[in-house]
Amino acid sequence: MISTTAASTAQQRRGLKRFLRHRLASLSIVVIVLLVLSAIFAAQLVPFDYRQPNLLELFLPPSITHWFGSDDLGRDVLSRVLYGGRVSLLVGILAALVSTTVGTALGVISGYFGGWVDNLIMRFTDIMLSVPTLPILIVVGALLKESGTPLAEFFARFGAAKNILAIISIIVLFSWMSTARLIRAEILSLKERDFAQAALALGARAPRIMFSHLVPNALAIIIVQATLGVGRAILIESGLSFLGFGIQSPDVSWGTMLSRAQQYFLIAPWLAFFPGLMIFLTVLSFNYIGDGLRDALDPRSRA
Amino acid sequence: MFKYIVTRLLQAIPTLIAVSVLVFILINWTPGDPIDQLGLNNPNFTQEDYQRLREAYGLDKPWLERYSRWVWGVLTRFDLGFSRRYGIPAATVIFQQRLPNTLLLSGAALFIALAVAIPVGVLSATRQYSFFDYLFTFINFAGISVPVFWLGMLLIYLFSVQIPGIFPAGGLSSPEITYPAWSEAGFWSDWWRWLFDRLRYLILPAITLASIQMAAWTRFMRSSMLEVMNLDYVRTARAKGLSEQRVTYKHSLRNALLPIVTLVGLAIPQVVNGAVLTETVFAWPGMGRAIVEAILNKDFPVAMAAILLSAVLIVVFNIITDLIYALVDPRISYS
Amino acid sequence: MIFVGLVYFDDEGNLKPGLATEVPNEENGRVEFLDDDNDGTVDRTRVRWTIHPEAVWQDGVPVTSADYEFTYRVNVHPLIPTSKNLAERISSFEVIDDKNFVIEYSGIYAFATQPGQTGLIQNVEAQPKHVWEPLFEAAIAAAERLDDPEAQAEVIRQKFIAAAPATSELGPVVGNGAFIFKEWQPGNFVRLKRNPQFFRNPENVADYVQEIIIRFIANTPTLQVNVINGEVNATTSPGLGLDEGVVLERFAEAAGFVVAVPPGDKWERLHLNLFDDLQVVEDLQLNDPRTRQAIAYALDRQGLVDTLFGGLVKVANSFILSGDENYNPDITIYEYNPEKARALLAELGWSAGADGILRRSSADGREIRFDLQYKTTAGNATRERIQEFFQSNLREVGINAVIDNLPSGSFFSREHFRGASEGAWTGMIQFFSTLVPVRNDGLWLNSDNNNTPTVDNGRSGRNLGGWNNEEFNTLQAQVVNTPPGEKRQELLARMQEIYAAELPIIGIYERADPYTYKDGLLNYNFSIFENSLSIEPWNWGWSQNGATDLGQ
Repeated sequence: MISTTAASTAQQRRGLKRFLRHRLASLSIVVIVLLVLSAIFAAQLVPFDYRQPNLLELFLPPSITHWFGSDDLGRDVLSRVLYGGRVSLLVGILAALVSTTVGTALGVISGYFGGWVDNLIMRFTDIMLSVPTLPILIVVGALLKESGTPLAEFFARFGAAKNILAIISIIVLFSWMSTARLIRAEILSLKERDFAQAALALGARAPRIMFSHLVPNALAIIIVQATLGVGRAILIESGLSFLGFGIQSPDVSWGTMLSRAQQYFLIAPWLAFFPGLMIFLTVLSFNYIGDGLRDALDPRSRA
Repeated sequence: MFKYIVTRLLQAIPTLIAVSVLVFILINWTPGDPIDQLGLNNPNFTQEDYQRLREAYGLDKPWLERYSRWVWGVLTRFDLGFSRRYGIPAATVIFQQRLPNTLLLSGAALFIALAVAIPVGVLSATRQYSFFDYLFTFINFAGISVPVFWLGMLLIYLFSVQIPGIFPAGGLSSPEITYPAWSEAGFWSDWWRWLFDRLRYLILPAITLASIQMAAWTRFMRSSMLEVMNLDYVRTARAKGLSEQRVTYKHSLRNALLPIVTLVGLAIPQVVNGAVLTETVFAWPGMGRAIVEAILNKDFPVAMAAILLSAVLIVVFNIITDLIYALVDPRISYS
Repeated sequence: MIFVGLVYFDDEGNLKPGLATEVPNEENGRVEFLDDDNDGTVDRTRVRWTIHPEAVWQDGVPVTSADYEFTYRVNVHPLIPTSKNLAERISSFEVIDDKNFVIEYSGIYAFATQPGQTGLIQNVEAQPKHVWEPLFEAAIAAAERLDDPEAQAEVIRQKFIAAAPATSELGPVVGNGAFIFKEWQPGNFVRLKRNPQFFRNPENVADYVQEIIIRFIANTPTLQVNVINGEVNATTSPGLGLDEGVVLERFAEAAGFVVAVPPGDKWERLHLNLFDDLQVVEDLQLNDPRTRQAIAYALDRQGLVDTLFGGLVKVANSFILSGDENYNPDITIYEYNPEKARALLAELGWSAGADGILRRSSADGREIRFDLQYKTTAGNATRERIQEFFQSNLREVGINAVIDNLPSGSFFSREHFRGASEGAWTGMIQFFSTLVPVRNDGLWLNSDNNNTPTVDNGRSGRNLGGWNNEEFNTLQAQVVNTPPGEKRQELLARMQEIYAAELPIIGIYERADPYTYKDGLLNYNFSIFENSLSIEPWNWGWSQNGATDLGQ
């Protein structure tokens, strides 16, 4: 245990090397950084107001002025795609962070304590995994929005942000399970390893063992799960929005853009093409990064 | 073995009860009921009508009582309730009308996914780090990253709009082509025509739905194959001078195939989610769309029946998966 | 198509005889307004119907008065789960002979001769008694042996409502119209065959459409592609949204089909919450007509209709159709005028804050921002398009429209839709309904008669926003008791003036649902007044097969 610091620094360096060797993963990092920057600086980058209709410019195909064309209200699609990225990325990243945290916490508790605690949590995980998620998400979505229900009142406090928060919450609700299962399995095996046994023998308390010893050692899996989770969350958000249960105007997400584009895809296919492409690129990049991280952090799982 | 199955089935019961309670509560919490829908477009609908119908449909009772009644009906009479929207029992809507379509679509999708994943996975593994391998690795990543409905829209745009006449833009079958009645003369030609028509409608949605599994399974097949190829007995076989082809197909493939079988079971939840979106894009009258429509129209019995049936499918396939896994892997015992 | 009413509306709104020999009216003596006690008000409305001698059920049995009487009896039966309101309005139902019967309504009933007014469901005014009576009697007898209303409803459903042949999968539906039910594939299609015995079939019926396949295509892009590829010959109204109609028009000429739009019969509109005991309503001064007028001036409704909807529809300025004889063309019309909107809002004490959104301080010194809740049904692309357009219109005058859409099931739930008095929605909601009083007597703006939904009255009534204008209420009470004619028209004209000045509801457009048909398909019309699939389906035919344009 004394030499861990030195060893882990070396390990980290090796990991970084391995990650950089994964060329697509490195490229994906660049793509994501660009996307995040363009979302943050959308206001400075966009040539047009993304909310401003222009009745004289309905359904313009891509051109020099409107790179991605214009939409059913004459709004600039490029501007909307950039702003849409804000919501989609925010929802994706936050939902993945929270669901990974929840999944990790439950997995660690379940794996560490075992017995009835483990049984209870894993039963609950089974139940959640047996629920067809998308239909239930729709029901919960309706519940969250309706005035009068306690959940809706809770979210109403957040004012303008309530829709985005509600979407994030329902995605989290149905996406922590796989992390919980993986972490539990990892903890079960880590628990038997020397360092954990040693800590236990030294009389360390449960929370300390869990969070200072077990969690750091499972970090590789947690980081990979979180990265892959971003892509999953973005896909869920787009699916929900596509079915009409997503973000509300004037906020815009790639999913809501696609949902509307459906109606006009015969005369304006670009309306569906660009937001879909952005979802695809983003999710693809996160998946590559996740893959690269897995290679880098966890050499055993290399295929 | 038998005891194992029974134990697993018994374990599934609390799960299913919990799912049904959860769904029942959620659905009943959402505001609105079927009677609101009745009254909406009928200017003559009165408060008295509303009260009377609520009573007749039992909607005035507390949810626990309604839930018990529902469960009792399901267990004693296999009565899943009555669809107010279609005017027929929910069981008929689900089992006779929607489930067969969904099974056809997801069956076709799983078949396509396997039919692509196995050969491509094997080829990628045997030619590791070749151009072919890189190409298919990319396609795999693309497959798990693409929004299903967007892929569906692209396929419709490319194959129905740009090249009209080959693939329809959605729907189940052409109404003018029905299953032929038996006759000496033209039965088989009519039958082929019928089959061809069904395939025309099936292919695009099936490919769309298959995309996720196709990608995931190819990846899995590739790594499973690589793992097997490095095992001792395969190396031995190779050392014995057996041809590379023989080694690949006789020794490695057979062993690499076993674990992929279990993946089929684990894919069911994803298939259900994918079906909701795919059926929406392709106007396919299956269960996924039935669930969304039922929730939107407050047709609770249909929504309950469909969601619960999906849950049952997921649970049953999980058990089957575990069983197969136990069968193929001697290290796991049935207890 | 399978059933035909006694009368039906053609595409211009004229009543035509269906199964009846002629349309009843005062001139032919079939409609009488009776004043029994000579006090100057009508006590009974009496309508005499004669069934066409050649009208037969599709199994060959003649259609008789007994069928109508039976269906009426079913509908008023307390154990049958239907709305009883219209049936209760009927004070007597008298069978004179096999082909003649008389229906009396209490008071004056101006709509007695319209389709669906025999106390039954629209367009299925009669079911064959010889098929249904045994089932009905058995179901009622079985239900009466039980006490629990839910169990009774269940028995009625199993033995009667959902029994064969009601659900078409179980047995043939016996209709009385031009087409016979043949086959149903749930979620896919229904197949109908021509009824050669139907007495209103055109001459040389063999040259006309012999088979109809009604396909159910739930997804509009799929439907659009099918129309353009020629896989469907015609679409119904409603079926396509206005947006889809506009899209399809671009392909119509090249692909050889026609996009037609019947005149609007529905009113897409914004209801505002006027319950001023709600803090939000009070703060935004929604109960002041000037606020509503400012909103109306701010919305570019003409631009919306002309540009987004290709001029296919009209702006709705009144609660009566602009083509209706009762429409008052002299009412105030709120044309797009953001300047005027800003001026009105300034008059009400609003001034723009740093973010461009209006602010004012309330009497008790709070700063109020003009955040106006704006809700409609989620997932309806046409509505959301309008909503986003209006949202930017409103932003231009400094109103921040906060969109908060709900799935339609939740939107139209009692708790929400009729919950304005408790603040279930606080700004405005957008939806449509059929324009009144074209088709029935449901004038719903009065605040009396329990017509304003509150918790106290169990949330019933159609005056959703809680508007209250005494003169309007009085006029409405008079209209209900005035037979059609000049007097009634004057009353309605005044009511429209009040409405336009007060603007409790802001009309958006007179909604119409476009339909399409391939070149060569003749006599394919939709009447906005009819709820059935189309008018006169028996006249549909292809010109290339020798059918004649019958000029309707």
